[in-house]
Amino acid sequence: MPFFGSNFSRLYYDGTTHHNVDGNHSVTSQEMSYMGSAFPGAWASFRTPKISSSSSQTATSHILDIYSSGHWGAQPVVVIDVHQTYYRPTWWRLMILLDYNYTKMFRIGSPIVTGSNNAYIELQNSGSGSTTVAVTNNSSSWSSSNNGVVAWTPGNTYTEQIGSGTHSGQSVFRQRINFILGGVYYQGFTIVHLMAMGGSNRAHFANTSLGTAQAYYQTQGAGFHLPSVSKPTYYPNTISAGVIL
Amino acid sequence: MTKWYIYENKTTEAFENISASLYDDAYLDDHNLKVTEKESEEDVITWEKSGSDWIPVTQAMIYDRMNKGELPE
Repeated sequence: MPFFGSNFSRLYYDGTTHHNVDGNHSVTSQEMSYMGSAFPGAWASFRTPKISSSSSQTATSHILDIYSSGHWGAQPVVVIDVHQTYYRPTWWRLMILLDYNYTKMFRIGSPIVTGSNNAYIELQNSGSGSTTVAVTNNSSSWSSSNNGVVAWTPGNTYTEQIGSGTHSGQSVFRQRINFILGGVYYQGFTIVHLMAMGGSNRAHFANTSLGTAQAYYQTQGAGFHLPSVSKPTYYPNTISAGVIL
Repeated sequence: MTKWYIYENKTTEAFENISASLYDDAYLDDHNLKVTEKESEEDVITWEKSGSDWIPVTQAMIYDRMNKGELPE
């Protein structure tokens, strides 16, 4: 069964063997595979590595940087599926829009465990202060006052300006996003869906350092950096969410 | 055999995470991480530090700890 309605069968090579995502393989093998594009032409989806906490310490992983500027089309949209696979399997989803220097979020789903008992997302100001906020599925910061849409707008508290007038006269901002397992013995991963859009449809991957990505977006304005996801080798140069850099 | 990669801060030795895949060098450098590589049988759930070494925590160990009331239900 193709994943999320995709018509493609994909192969992922991990050294000595390969796995067909659409084939019949063990859970372990499938978890080692990258799922790739979910909605060709509209979204490109990437699975971040599955992580575990230890028996005594919680776990964190830097999964995404979003860059935005003030020019038209330079306000990226991403959907993050939060999967916890052990020891309380559950799932929830949030959408994040970086609107220039302003972070806006929308929540979907109500998992069976709540708060830090469920894997969650952390917003981090990537500046020298490194201020963070825990985005748990049941945080009291979520509001349903907007016609039933569950939204949370942390604003510009956790965004960092990385360029002043550097993108054809517009300033550029970054929102750093971490994936957190808030308890011990936990396992989980995320699937990050990047929306194909006007001036933002480009992505950097794990082979690019944070500094190189920052230098690129200071002048190019908007896009995504998935620092823990290996650069796909099975796509042509242009993917559904844009250009692989 | 399953491969595991345990990440800790190079300077503080603070625990980061345990992953089934090895992060790229750029990620390790940017986040100042060192990695400990391990291999295990498939019934291993996670790892715990004992002295300077990491030892596997199996599903059977977790059943035993739960039955002794050492873990939440």
